[in-house]
Amino acid sequence: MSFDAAMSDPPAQTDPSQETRDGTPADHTHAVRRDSRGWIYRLFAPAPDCRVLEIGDGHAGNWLSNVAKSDFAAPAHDEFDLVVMHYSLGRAATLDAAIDAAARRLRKGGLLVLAGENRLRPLGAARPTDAEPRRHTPRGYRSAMARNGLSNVTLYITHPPGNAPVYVVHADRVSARPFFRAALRSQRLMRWSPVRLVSLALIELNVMPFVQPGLLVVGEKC
Amino acid sequence: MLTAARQALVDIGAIAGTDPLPPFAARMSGNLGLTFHLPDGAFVLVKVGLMTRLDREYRGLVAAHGAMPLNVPEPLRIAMYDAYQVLVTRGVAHEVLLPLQSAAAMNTFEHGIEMFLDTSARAFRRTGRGTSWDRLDDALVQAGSMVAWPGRQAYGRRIRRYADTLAPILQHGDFAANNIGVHDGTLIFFDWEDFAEIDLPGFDLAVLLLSLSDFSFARIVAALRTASLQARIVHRGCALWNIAAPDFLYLFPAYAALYIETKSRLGYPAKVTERIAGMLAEWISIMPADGDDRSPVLRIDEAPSASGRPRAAR
Repeated sequence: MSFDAAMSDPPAQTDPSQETRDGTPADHTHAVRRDSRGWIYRLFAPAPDCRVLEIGDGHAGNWLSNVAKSDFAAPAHDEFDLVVMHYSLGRAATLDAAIDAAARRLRKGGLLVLAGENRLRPLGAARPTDAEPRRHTPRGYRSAMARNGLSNVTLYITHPPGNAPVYVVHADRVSARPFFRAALRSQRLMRWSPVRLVSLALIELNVMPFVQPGLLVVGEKC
Repeated sequence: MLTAARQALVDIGAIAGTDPLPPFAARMSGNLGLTFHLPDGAFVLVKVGLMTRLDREYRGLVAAHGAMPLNVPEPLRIAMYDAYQVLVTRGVAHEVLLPLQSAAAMNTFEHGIEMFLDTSARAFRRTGRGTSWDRLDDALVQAGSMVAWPGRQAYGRRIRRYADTLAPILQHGDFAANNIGVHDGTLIFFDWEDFAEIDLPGFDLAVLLLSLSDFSFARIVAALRTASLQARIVHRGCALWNIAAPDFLYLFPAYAALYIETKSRLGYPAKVTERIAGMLAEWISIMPADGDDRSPVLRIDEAPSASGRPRAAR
């Protein structure tokens, strides 16, 4: 069941104040004005100048000043504060191999932020990107991270999926349910619409985050 | 940016320094908006200023929450964290206002708007001459550049007589229906970043009516000629401002001009002002070139009885 149309409208329980538009920018704004892609990586980065390794084309450089682009085939010399895997396994053969390689490049306490496609996405939902054909389930991503030395693994959904998401939502029910309820409300379906009733059930059971096409998985190197 | 948001949450006492970050939803819309869901079931909104400074919004929230504490989110903190300005407000669960489908919803809307008008007239009234009048000539010129308006100068002269009779009242500045929510039968008013930019009474109500009427002046006049919800609200507002309803309608080009001037100055995208310019063009096409506030075009009934069944606003 796709929520694409619904989520093109901002949910009512997200920030109700609209974007501001006056002419007095704070620091770090030049990249935002030019291209907002990559903001999801700045969201999790510990600092704007932290050392970042980017796998795939996630546009982290729009927001972070110290980004090295590479893949896991290249020899590892440096330790990074943040490794970004944007719909890419960096020429690794499997997800486990890619996460293992990413973990080796992280300093202790560093973060791996992985944007990936959900194998459980609804039929007909737009694919986030054509860059990488491999897909995994939310559980698959999380367990692969846990197997390869990452802790505090957290699942988020990104919407719309792909390079330019507007929303990042924690999959925990306390944050996901208000988000999807608001998205459903904005569809203005009839009270007894089967689509509405099934969607409500999926929302209350907190299934919705696990069937969204765009996922973001974050883990910390122990 | 989560580091900055986390520090803000610690500083307002929402979480302890050792607590994990609560689950959140983030929205990028120029600035970053984060909704954090706290363990006690409450939620707070953390806005990170990426494109703009947030001082104006904070000041608006402080003034508005002080006047209408049940209807405006409470601002909790504004501070710099990691070179970002961060504004924290208490979250208010709400439903969207539109569509007004039931009599109860329309009743809530009518009473909520009347409360807003009453409270604004009391809490935000200023003495002396309104500052909007100082900008009006330039604003009319700017608006006139967007539409063909041969009677602009004559209108500018006629409208001046209101400067001495209309006591200034600070306006919300963007009082469109999509900035209003509903919670437990109470209206919640959001988006106070343009508060006090304009002090010409009636501006907020004009913006609200336009947002309910697809920005059509003719539809507003048609609604006001019936015993409608809109008519009752307009008559309530006009009584507060001590003007007649046709005066309010005659002021619409002034409202439009101030809207265009303000939004342009604050850097809003052009599409925001284009709808208002379209309404101005409609007003010009309806009004005779020498028309004033006694024009039959602007004639509407006197205050309708409250017994009239409210019409759906949309």
